[in-house]
Amino acid sequence: MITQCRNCSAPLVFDPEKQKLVCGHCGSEFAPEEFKLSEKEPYLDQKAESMNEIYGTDSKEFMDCYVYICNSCGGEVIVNGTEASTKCIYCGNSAVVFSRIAKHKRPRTIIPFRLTQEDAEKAVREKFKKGLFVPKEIKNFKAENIRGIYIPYWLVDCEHKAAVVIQQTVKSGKSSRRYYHGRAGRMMFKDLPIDASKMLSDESSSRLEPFNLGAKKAFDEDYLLGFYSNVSDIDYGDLRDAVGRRARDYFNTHVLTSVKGGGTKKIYREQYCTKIDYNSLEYAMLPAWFITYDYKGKHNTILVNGQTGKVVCGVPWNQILFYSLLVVTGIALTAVSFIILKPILASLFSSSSRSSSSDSDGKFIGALIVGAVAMFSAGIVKIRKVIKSINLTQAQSIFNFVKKRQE
Amino acid sequence: MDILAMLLAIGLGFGLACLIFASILSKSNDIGNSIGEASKYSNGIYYDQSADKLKNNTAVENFGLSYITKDDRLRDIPPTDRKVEQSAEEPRDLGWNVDQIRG
Repeated sequence: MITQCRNCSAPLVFDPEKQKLVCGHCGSEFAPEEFKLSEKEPYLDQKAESMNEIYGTDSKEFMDCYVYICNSCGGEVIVNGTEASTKCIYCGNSAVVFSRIAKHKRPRTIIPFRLTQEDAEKAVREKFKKGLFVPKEIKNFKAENIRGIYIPYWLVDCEHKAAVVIQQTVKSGKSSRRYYHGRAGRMMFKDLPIDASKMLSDESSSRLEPFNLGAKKAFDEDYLLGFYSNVSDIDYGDLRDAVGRRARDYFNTHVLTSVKGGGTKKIYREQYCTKIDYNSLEYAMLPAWFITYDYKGKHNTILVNGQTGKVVCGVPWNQILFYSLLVVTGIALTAVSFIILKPILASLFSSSSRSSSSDSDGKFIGALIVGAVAMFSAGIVKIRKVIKSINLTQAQSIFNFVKKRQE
Repeated sequence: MDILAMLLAIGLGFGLACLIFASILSKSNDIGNSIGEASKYSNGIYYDQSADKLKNNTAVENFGLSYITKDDRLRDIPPTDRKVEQSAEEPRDLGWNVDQIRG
């Protein structure tokens, strides 16, 4: 069976507050390191069997369904193709699929949960309380499910080498000048965390960062007790794409700041190459709480970094309040701008009839027009960007990552 | 002239209102929209070549053309469709100063 209490043989669960394995029956506490891997040897080869193979079918419904025998009660637990630990629906104890994290598939390190379920929920409610556009029903939300899940990550060492040409556009009155600057260099990364689960999008998982990787511990299956977990299911192509994307973003952001002076800057041309050190790839499990709730018939998921407590979610917003405040403020600012601009334009137009200063007056009016258009466009673009970002973390894929698990 | 002033005022007024409320909405409802900073994982860029205000089109088109070499692209890499695996060997020490990188 799974790791048992040495005093009463009841199953143990990892307690984030105490950072120890705790017996729910007699209250005994043990460090995970006290239980040797050799004690779990009998279970390392026990595999989860595909339901199609068991029933001799070829059904699409059973494609991602596997049956695993619970280590505690012998009941049949249904897991998907990538789960490494779950809860048994019969006895409620943790069921660890040892064969998926044994031998060459064994993670090297883990960051144990630091936050309890209550801490995670409290952190979320604190954030929601402060949100001006968070609807009242969400501020008092009732969690449908709260699950602690260890997400698989690859910690990658790599070198990003690139040669870029940066285009800098500096406005000078009505005209603008363009300058080109060249930069070629290397950026080395250590322990760049890449989410190793296909089901969870990189955009969502990367927002859980930063993790304090200095607190990593040597992997021990006992840290999984009481939590869910997944194994890595990405291939080298996915890894290279994700690493290349991140390294390139970091490099380009840095290199743009190396160009002095104002104006807008963008990458005009680039050549790059990201070299991954495949020998130092480190397979790690990092903790996150997933909290789901219903709002207006739609499932929403909140992620909480299980180590630092960082909350990640796009909360549905009170659109009526937002747009009405926006319109009222827009009208007020328009009135103020009109009061300021009218006399300025009046004096410009009257002075422009005297030809000596008409050229500079024309430039000033031109600058005002450009400024007004730029301000309006920037405002619309920013609102669209924020709405897109909110929708990203409301994506169905995050909910799907959580939902298909045993209670 | 009044019409021009009104149009400019609408552009500035509503534009500013959009910027203000987009920031408030982002702070209120787009929670945790940030990823780990580069300084957590890297020491920054080591520049091998740098040139400001490139003089002409030729300089612009030719800058850094030979920086990425054939050797950089040619390497023994695992097949794209193979599942990622951890090396059985102990990780090599690449000589990067971890404390320096992490700050």
